[in-house]
Amino acid sequence: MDIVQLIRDLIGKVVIISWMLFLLTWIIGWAIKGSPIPSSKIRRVGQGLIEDAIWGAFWVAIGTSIFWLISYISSAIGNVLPKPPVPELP
Amino acid sequence: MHLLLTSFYLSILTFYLGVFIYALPIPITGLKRWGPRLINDAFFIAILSTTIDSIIGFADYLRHTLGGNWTYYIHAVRGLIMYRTTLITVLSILKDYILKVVPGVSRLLSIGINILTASLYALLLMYFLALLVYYNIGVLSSLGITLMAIPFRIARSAGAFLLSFTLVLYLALPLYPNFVSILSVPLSHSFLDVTVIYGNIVTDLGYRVLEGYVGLEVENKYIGPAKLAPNGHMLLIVNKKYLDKPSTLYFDASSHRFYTNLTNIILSNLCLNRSTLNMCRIDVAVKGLLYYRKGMTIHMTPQPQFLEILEIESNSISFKVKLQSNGSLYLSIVNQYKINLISINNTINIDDLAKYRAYGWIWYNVPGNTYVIPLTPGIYTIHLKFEVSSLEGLEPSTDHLYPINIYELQPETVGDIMDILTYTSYVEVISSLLYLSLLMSTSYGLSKLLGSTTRLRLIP
Repeated sequence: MDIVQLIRDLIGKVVIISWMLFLLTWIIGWAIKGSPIPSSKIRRVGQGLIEDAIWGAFWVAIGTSIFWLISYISSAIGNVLPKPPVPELP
Repeated sequence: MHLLLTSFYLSILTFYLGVFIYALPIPITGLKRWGPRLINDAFFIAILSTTIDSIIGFADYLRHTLGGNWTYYIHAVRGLIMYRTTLITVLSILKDYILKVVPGVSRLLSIGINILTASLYALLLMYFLALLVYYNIGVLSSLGITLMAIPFRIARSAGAFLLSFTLVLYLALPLYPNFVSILSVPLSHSFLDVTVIYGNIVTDLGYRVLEGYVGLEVENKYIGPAKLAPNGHMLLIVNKKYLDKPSTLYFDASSHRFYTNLTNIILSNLCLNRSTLNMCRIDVAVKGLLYYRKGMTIHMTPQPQFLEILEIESNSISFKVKLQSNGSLYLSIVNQYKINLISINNTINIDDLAKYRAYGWIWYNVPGNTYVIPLTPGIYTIHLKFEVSSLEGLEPSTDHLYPINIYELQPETVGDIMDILTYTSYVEVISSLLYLSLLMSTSYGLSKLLGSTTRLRLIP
């Protein structure tokens, strides 16, 4: 198997898992934050999970665009380049 | 190319792994810190792998600016290796012969052979490193980037070192001959010990001299002739110590040396521009000279009271002079000139110069004659018509000239057998090791820079 193909497969899998994980983490975060446990410490953990999940979702959504931008700019400078990756959104 | 593609996709994988870690529902700080770290790495590697061509191009440009040339370097080193090998072979054969006659001398020879062998090994090292880097720059650098691109920084520092090693050697290895020349040139010829004497040249009668040669006489040593730069700027590079000794500057034309206003004078007292080191500006007035063009000099004794150059064409010149006492007009021309006509005040026409010929001369390598025409006091308008048979060889050839460029200055001790010995053997052994260690430490520093993201952080 071609190594580039292998890596692309891996990328696809990681992206799908990341989306799922984002949803899971988001749900877990809200569940912890909204749970009827009167402890601000646990609520803060839930808050942190929500924030991280949203950051992750932001990066996963913007990632392909950023890599496309990098390769676009360097091809504009005049390099022979790997071609921009196809968006890997599920 | 395939490696670069791999590294690009690896960087994308790294990025998504970073995102994955961000999204993990496990609230452990040590684990979560890998998220932004991996994203940072991914951007850095992606930029590096897409711009490596430009980086190599920039290295090319930089090396070109510094004066390195791969083809020249490889040829020079290969030639030196051939030369050494032949020398060692010949000396070994010689040693075997001498061994049978005088055993003591052959031992001396074998010491020499050992030094030569060491320098041969040093050269071979430089040569194979050059081949490795020059022909495999693309493969090596992209391999380095691919190693850097592996997620979780597994082979990051190894890849960074490989990349920086290749880049540094690709840039700096052809500069090795320059480095050797710095080491082997004797100290008195460093840039610190020369002075550039520069300035304008005029005749005593107020006309700018636009071409010609100058020379400096110090302690019975003549430094010259140095050709004037275009527009008649004098540019003379001399040893600094000469500035503090009585010296005489001559205008050197058609085998005559004309005195100038600088006769038996200590130049360092006269430099006009004292602000800059190693530069000395002196404006020069040449005595007696009326006119100089390629290989043709016109002068007069005694100095005329007044000169007006009326017209200068490619094959004629006319001027007006005022003479106070009996004097002579000197016309010194190289053999390529043929004078067709000299007319004085439109009354006296001389078309046959042969009877005025005073003496012949050879100006470095250019032969010529001087004609002397006696004149009584009065004002003369002199018109000269001539033709030039060929434009080549009107002035001394470059081998006779004093170099204007500092690199062409020869060390005075050339021919000294010890210098040649040290140059050919010791300097090469030492300088190659010195240079390689210099490059190694440079590439180590560069790899430190590339291998750590603490200085190249995009996301906090």
